[in-house]
Amino acid sequence: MRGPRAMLERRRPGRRPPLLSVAARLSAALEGRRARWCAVAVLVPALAAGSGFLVRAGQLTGSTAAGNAALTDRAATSRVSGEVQDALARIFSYTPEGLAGTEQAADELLAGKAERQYEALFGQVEERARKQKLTLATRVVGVGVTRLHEDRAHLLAFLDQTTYRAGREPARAAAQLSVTARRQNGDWRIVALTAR
Amino acid sequence: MTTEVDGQETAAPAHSDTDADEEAARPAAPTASGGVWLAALLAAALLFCAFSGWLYWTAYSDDDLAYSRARDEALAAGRAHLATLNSIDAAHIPAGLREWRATATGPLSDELRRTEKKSAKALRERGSSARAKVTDAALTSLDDTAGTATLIATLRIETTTRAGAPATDRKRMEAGLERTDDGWKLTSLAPVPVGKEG
Repeated sequence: MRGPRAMLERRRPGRRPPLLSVAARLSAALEGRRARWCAVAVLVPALAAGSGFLVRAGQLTGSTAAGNAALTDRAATSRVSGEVQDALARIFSYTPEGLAGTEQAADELLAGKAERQYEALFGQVEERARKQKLTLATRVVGVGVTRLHEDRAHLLAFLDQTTYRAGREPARAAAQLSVTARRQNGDWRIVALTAR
Repeated sequence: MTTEVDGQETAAPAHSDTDADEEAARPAAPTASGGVWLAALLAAALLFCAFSGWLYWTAYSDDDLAYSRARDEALAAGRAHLATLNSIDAAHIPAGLREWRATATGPLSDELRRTEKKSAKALRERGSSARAKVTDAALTSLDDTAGTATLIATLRIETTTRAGAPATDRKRMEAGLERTDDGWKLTSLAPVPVGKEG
């Protein structure tokens, strides 16, 4: 009775696919007590290292750094900084005759909280500008994008503002603004302004 | 043949009570399946390790990710250094000046070393302390390969004199940064005046 059984076992490995035969041999090798300890000694560090790698990879790809396109996407960065620079120069510049134009520009370029803040401010300025014949020219002298996402951006802008009044020397002042912009229908609009 | 073998096997347990050979072999059955489980577990663990290692490596060597990492590191270092360089504790001037020097490299480091004695004397005479806080900052350029960056920042500086009340001052500054073995350091620092050009 032993003869056929031995023959059958000898033939079996040959018929199996190579992977299965490797698995069979490996599991056979792991029968021994010492071999098992060795296997556990490999298993535990492999699991630990694998988890470590996974966590680090998650940190690298899922971090806020990875989601922020400021400077990494050059085209988008220069577009948002260009549009915000342009917007700031337009809404903070006026002439006594062109006040309506400035207000209309603000209407197009501002939204949300920034629009309400601006309206309150402009109400006071309008009166004074007309009476005292004031002209304000604003130039953006520095701008940097801190955060840039699909439709939201945060920037810091340095402004130089020059006030001209008839019969007086022009007065220069510095202003710094933290700007939050939001993209609506493809165009960036300023939604929040904080003086720094 | 197969039926014969099967017959032998199914018959075996019936004899096992008396057969010493079968008795010894019995514990081997669960052990054998344990070996299979362990082998499968080992293979799965190694595969898992290799896969997550590969994931980590692709993330680590991703140029865009490396660039954003450099950007955030430069900005964070710049913010911290700007605050340090605009702060001084009148009671610990030498320590403060040492901290100043630790924030700089290249030309700014040279300048700080050159003016250290003069600054210490001036600060002692004035006797005022300053505490600066960076209210906002942004990188305006970053060259990851060259390891250089420029930054603009706004600061609020609280100055306390020996006698008078504390005064708050706002400043806007531009700084140059360079990557060193010890992280990003300042190479230049200057206020941005009004009407710089024209």
